[in-house]
Amino acid sequence: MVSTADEMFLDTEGWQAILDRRQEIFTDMLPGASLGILPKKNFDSPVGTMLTWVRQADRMEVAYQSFTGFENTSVDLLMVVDDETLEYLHSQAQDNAFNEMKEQIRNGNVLLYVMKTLDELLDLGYEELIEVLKIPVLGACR
Amino acid sequence: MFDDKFLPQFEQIAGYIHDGGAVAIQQILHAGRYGGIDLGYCVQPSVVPQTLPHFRQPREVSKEQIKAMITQHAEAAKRAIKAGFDGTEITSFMGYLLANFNSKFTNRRTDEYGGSVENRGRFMRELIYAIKEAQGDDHPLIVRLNGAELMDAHGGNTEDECFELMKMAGDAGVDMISVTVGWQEAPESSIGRDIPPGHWNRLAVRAKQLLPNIPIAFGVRLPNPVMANQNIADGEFDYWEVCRPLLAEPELLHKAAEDRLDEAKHCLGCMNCLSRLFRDLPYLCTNNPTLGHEVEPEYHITPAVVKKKVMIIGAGPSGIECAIAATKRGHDVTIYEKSNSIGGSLVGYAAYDMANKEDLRSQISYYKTMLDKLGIKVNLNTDVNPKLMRSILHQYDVAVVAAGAGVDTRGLPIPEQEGVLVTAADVAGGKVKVGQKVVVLGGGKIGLTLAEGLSQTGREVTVVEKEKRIAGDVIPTWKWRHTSWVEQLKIKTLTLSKPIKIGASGVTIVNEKGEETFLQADTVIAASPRRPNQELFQEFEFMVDELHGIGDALVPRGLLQAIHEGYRLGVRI
Repeated sequence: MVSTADEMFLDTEGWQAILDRRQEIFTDMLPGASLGILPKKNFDSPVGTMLTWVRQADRMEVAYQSFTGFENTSVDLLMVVDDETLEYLHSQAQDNAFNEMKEQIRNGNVLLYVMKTLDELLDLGYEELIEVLKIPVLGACR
Repeated sequence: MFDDKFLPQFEQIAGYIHDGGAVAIQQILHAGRYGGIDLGYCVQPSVVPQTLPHFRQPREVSKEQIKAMITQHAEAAKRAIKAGFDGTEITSFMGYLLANFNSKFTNRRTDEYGGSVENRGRFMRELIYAIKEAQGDDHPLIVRLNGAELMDAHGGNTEDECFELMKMAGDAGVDMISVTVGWQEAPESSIGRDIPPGHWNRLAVRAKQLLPNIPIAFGVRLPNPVMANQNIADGEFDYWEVCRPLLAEPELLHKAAEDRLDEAKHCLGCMNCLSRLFRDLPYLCTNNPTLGHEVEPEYHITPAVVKKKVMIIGAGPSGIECAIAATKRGHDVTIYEKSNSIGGSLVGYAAYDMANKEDLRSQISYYKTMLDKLGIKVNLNTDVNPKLMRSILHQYDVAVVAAGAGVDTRGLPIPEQEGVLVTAADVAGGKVKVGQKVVVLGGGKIGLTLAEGLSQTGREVTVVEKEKRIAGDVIPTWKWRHTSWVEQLKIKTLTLSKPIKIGASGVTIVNEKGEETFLQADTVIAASPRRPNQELFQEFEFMVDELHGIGDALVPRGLLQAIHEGYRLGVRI
């Protein structure tokens, strides 16, 4: 039973359940494509832990790696979340967590950073995820 | 402006501006976070990754680079003045370099250029001092500053901090402040058609109150010169800034001065211009087909060598654009329109538009004015068919089919009861009564616009789309708005689904898994696919010398293509 935000962050099975419920989103991704989730409190610390979703040959899998700054990260997308949002997203495991993620990105509770260009993301097979999360791809169009 | 080799061209530009009776100000812009597209990286005060994948990943600038940048800005200003410009402007909006220093979103430095507002504003102050010194007191320096960044979610500056920076710029000796709004990455609308004109004026008013002795310029989502004039008279700001409306109507200021605004085209706020730019494509304006083609004779309206009698079938945007251009060239043009009004599908589209209906309606008003002023004959309630054509044979040298497009209902199940299935055109044209429960077949721009408008009036609307996603034919800048409105209005969307039975009380649909669902409906609206009204092409082939087609009558698309094709044909008939 996980109850605190820290426990939820480290709940591999819980996050894997969220991914497994919507594995079709990741079908077109190339092996190695990866997305990171970083607690806001780890954002400015010299070394923190980052939850990652990494595309393996047959599915998207949960893993953890150290975060030592934007410059050093190898993920394609990085979501920075506060404890409250993390808890909320984790609690959506049995529901549509991706729809909730989209809402939280739109509301600014999830800060989404893109570490690759749009062409690179599309080449890596991110089209479906971009659509599901409604990630804006253009500037100055609002 | 980074090298003397550009001086001759800038001298020419300054000359053109002066010849037009205006003051020439050169903007000096380092794109910072949004630059380096060709380099593969950008530079900014701190490494803060992009939130939009169009832009390049950042590298942090060193203190030595900061000093060099300040020197480069000052040298550019000197060069601008040397080229004949009267003054210069630096810009801290939209997330360019200066904004990157000013904002706590992108400035996370720990040296004297980061941290407090005072420190973050240091780069701006040093720029102002250096440029003022380089260009001298006789030449004004303007700074563009955000009144609101709209980047709160990302930890950007608050409005109070924005105004603190404005005060700082004033204290540093800047000669005018241009108040602006938003960043490229801002998650909300600031300049689109969904923002009412005048919405942001409060920021200019606040700046004016804060800095009563410094001229304030403003123009964010303020496309109407009459409104802007009133704002100036009311003391809200001192100068109106205008960009996109001039792309749509380069003669806007002259027409305003000559009290001919009814002859001016309007910026529709569709953002096609900027969406193109951010796809590394040249600017383009829905309403101005000549934008970017000004020096190409093929886009110029020149007197026709052979004056012709031209009939245009359809009084939608493509037909009227063609008529206006052809008439200006000396042709004798008559428009035939099946319905009782001009404007084509734009009329119905405007009626259901969730954004600013007046933007689209202004287009129809403009057309009415121009048809009247140019004396173009319009025969309303006239269905052009082979019989009519035979009766007027040889009266025309040219026929232009601009009959638009309809909805192709041939692929739909035959309704079991008459009156249940109607077309989008019937609804948009107000020809049918729509029930409380509505199913819209087709989640493209037409279906969504109707669904949104109907939902707003309290109807329960479901959209059925055969493709994987809705809004497939919507321009990129407007796609997110439709999906957002659909969510806000709680319109149910069923994708990868198609109707298999249309009964008296509703529609049965089947999805890609073969699962059937019954949707109760009083009205079923067919909104896609669209079919061009091309029947007249074959009928008329041997009835007239020249036969042309334009707009949706060729391929159903949108307003931009209708306007552009109509104009392009009008200038070459």
